[in-house]
Amino acid sequence: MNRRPRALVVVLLAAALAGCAATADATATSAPQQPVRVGVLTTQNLLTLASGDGTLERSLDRAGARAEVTEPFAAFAPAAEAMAAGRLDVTSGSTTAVVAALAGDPDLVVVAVERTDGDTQGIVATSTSGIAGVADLAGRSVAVNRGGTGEYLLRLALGRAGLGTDDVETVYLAPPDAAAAFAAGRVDAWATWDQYLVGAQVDGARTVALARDLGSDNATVHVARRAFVDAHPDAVRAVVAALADEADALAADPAPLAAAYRAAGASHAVAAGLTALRPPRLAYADDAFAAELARVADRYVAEGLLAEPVDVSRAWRDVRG
Amino acid sequence: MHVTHPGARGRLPVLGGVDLRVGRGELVCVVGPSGCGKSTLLAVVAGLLRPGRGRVLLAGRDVTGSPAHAAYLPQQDLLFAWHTVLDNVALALRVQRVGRREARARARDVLAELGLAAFADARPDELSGGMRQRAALARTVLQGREVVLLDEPFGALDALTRLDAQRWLAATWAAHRWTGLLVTHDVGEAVTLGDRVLRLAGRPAVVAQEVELDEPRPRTPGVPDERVARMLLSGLGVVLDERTSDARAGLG
Amino acid sequence: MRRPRAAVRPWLSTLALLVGWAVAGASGRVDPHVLPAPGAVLRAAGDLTVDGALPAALAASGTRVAVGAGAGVGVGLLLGLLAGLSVAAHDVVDRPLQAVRTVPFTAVTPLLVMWVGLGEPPKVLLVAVAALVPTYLATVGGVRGVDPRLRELAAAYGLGRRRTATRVLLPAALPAALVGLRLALGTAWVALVVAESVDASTGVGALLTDARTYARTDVVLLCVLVYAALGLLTDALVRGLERALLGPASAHPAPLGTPRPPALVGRPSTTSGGLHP
Repeated sequence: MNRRPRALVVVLLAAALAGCAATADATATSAPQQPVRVGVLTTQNLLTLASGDGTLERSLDRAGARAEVTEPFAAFAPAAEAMAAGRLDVTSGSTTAVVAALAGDPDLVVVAVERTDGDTQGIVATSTSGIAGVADLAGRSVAVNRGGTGEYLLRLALGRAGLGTDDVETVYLAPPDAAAAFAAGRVDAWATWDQYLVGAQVDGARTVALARDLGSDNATVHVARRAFVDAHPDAVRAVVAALADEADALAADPAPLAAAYRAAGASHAVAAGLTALRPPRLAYADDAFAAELARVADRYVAEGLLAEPVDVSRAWRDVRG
Repeated sequence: MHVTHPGARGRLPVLGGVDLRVGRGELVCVVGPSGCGKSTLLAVVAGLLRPGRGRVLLAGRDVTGSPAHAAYLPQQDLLFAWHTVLDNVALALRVQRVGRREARARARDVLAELGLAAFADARPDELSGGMRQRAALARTVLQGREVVLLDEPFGALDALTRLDAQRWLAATWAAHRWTGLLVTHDVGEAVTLGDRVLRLAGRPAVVAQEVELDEPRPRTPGVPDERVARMLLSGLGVVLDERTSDARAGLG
Repeated sequence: MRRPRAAVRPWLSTLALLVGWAVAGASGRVDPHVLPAPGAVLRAAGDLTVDGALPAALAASGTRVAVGAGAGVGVGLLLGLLAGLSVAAHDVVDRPLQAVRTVPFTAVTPLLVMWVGLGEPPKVLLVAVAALVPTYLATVGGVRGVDPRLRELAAAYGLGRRRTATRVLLPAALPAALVGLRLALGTAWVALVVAESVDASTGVGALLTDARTYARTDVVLLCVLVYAALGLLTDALVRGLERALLGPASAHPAPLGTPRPPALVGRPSTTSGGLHP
């Protein structure tokens, strides 16, 4: 009578331990029907759009997989955290955000890059500030997101103008807070991107410099977990293919882009402004991108945005090869 | 010095017409069943309640509704939890702008008289109910006012302590020549301590009975006058003494 | 022997959690991105202390809370007292403050930035408001909850309105106000976290934002632990204040009037003349 319960306990314990072990390296077991967990951002990039209009689902279906799309993340950092914890497989960010995140999590792998005309990121100034060019930033306040696109663009601009970080007052604000501060005139200038940039421009802000004017290597990128890429290369290829399909569709007809922004809360003016820019084209994360990534990483170290150099050589994968 | 009190009625009629005169140096005890309005009467005399009708006169001066002319002890001890017992008692003098050292010294003396010397530096919640009541009594009398109004001052004391306290009060009252009222539910106590005893009864309450006590002082506490028997009996509705006016035989 | 054990006992469950954490970290089966081991967090703490980042962050955050909560608590006490004493004041002040109570900090912060500007003022203001509301609520409740007979007693002793307020009502309301103070400091820290997440250049919040940007989960956890420790610290300070102001009984207060088994009751005497314990 004593042996039965004890055996049961042993079995239960073993099962529990096995369960723990299983969750610890779930990626080792390659179950083909596990959904690809996609973390979209609130910004309307190719991944967000493809997840929303079925393009992604169709592409994955062809590869024998399916997608599980999360609630939108407001920024890359929380999405990267979820990915590092093994709860996401694919998400989006910027080159700069990825470089910063590599400091703590070396398992991010860029698999796709969005190419634009270099006009989706830049520095704007309030209409009353009187700032015309980057040299005028001297002695003024500039809102940037710390350690990301904004700060990167500002450093590039300062470099171009021969100014140092002491010559401007850097104000660290996340994009929504920066939007409020900029609109209220609490800062003179703002380094930002996408709908934030266009939103400011539509409101009458003056464009001081665009990304292409500053020689920026920063682009919207799509990243995956290294373990996931290693285990399911076909699924990752399918995701990137979906992004390419989406880009092609937008090139033919950019109207869905405007519609998506309006649905997300943008005004007609902002949506129109965004559509006026050429929609992004998709590129694979190739050697050219590797060079950009390395340049951004070096810049970060040089500017003191990173305490120590990070190894970016393994942080990209051309999924075609 | 008189305390005169022609008529009174609370908002819910608690007191009917009560006409009361107290001579200087007199201690008038007020008895009656619980809830009959004794405390209300005392509060009116103290100036804390305004009667619907009537006035309170102190030596001819109208003090209706204006407190602080008498030393008033409420039924709950209401000692301040954030002060020591000593500082609670000393408060009586501090509010009269007496210096802290002197106030504390005199407070200590009064506490000693009431047997609480050892607990002067304790906090009220460390004391038993009876001790707190004694401390509150000390606080009341230390004010040094000539008119003293006490609402059940010995209610929480055990029998033996109560006797000692009654003895103390009788002696102190005489020594200080206080004038005032003492409310109690203990008829024996009233008869022991008072120069006159009033019995309130009825709803609204009126003075159902008024008895002069001429037994000479000092009286022995615990051995009440024979009249007690009469009071008790008449309280039950049996009129024995021709001096009582309408025997309102309200229920108790 | 009893005293040290009694002091340790409340900490046992926390200790157990810490030990569990260390064991989980050492076992190697927990992803360090999900839960960094205590060693990693300590190392991060060491690095940040050595390069001065942590002390500077603590100083910046601490100053904001000290100034903001100080102002908020002060104004809260004052308003609570006024609203408790004066019906007119209560009518003016109470509803707006009750409304503010439910507004989430995250919603208000950008508005504050727009109205007040950047830098210290919006953060300190948010902390002040976060501290003000619980203090006000507790104080006004404490003042109004004071036994009305105490007011009567004060009148009987000849205390005017002002002295009744300062010497009777305020001390009587103090226990409730101190409870409010503890709550207020807790909310103040929460408000600080939110405020520091917006305009994050100095303070523990800036450290936290950076840690997230640079995917340093160990630093994120460190910041969380720092906030927790700071909260415990301020809580202990208030409890010390309670003991100082309310006496050692404040740990287990008994309402006045409850009969206690007398450890101190004197025995009645049978001698005449005077009462002796």
